[in-house]
Amino acid sequence: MLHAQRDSVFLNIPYDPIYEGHFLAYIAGIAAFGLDPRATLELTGGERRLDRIFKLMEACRYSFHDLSLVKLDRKRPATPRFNMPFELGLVVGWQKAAPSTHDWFVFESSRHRLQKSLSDLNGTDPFVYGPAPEGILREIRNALARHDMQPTAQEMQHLFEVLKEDAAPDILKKTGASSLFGARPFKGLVVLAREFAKISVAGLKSS
Amino acid sequence: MRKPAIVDTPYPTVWETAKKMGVSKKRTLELIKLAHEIHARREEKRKTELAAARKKRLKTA
Repeated sequence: MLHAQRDSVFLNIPYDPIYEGHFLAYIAGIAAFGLDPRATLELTGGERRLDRIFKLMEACRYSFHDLSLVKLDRKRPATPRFNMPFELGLVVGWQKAAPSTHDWFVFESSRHRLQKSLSDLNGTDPFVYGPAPEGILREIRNALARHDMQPTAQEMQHLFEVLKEDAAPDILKKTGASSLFGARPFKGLVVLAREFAKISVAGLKSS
Repeated sequence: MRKPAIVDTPYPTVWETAKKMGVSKKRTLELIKLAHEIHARREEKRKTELAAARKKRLKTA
C-alpha cells in the first residue's frame, strides 16, 4: 500500500462540460487550503484502470465525492452515471476493511437528494452547496479547517475567479485541448492554482 | 453538521505540487510565468477600472 500523501485530496466528480465551473471551484478551494487535488484524469498507462484508481485513492489523505450528477445521461443509451458512487463505495469499503486516517466527504447540490439516491448513506451529512459553483467554496470551508491560518471567503472567491476567467482559457489555448477534463489541462490548473494561492492568500504572500 | 477535518500540513510549494503531479521543470517554469502574467494583467485591469470610476465620479461631482 502506498503511503498516503497528507496534503492530497482525491477528487471524485463528474467529467461533464456543464460541470467545468464546479471543477474549477473544487481546484480553487482545495488549493486555498494548502492541499493538492488528485483525480482519475491523471491516470495513464496500461495497468487495469480500477487498480490505478484505487492506488490514487490510497495515496490521498482526503477524498471529496460529488454525487450531484448521478442521474440519467441524455445520450443514448440513457444510463445513470455510476462512477462517482462506485468510487465512494470503494473508499468506504477500504476504510471499513482497513481502518485508516482517510477522511471522506460527500458533496451534493440539493438537500435530501442523497437520501433518495443513496439511502445506504443515511446518517452521513452531505455538504450541500446549492446551484452555483461558488457554494462549493463555502462547503469546503465547512469541511476543512487549517491549524495555522484559514483562507478567507474573499481569497477563495478570488482564486476561483482567476482560474475561471483567465487560467482556464489560457490553459486550453496553450495545450490545444477542447476540454479542461484532460490530464494536461488538469495538471496545469493544479500547478497554476498553487502559484495563485501563494499570490492570493494573505498569509502566503511572503513565502 | 460534522466537525471539519483539521489540515495540519504546511502549504506545499509550487515545485512540490508539480513534482507530485508529474509536471516537468520546464513546464512548471512556464506555468509560474503564466500565473504572474495573469496576475499582472488583472492588476492592470483593476487599476484601469479604478481610474475610470474616479474620473466618472469627478465628472458628476
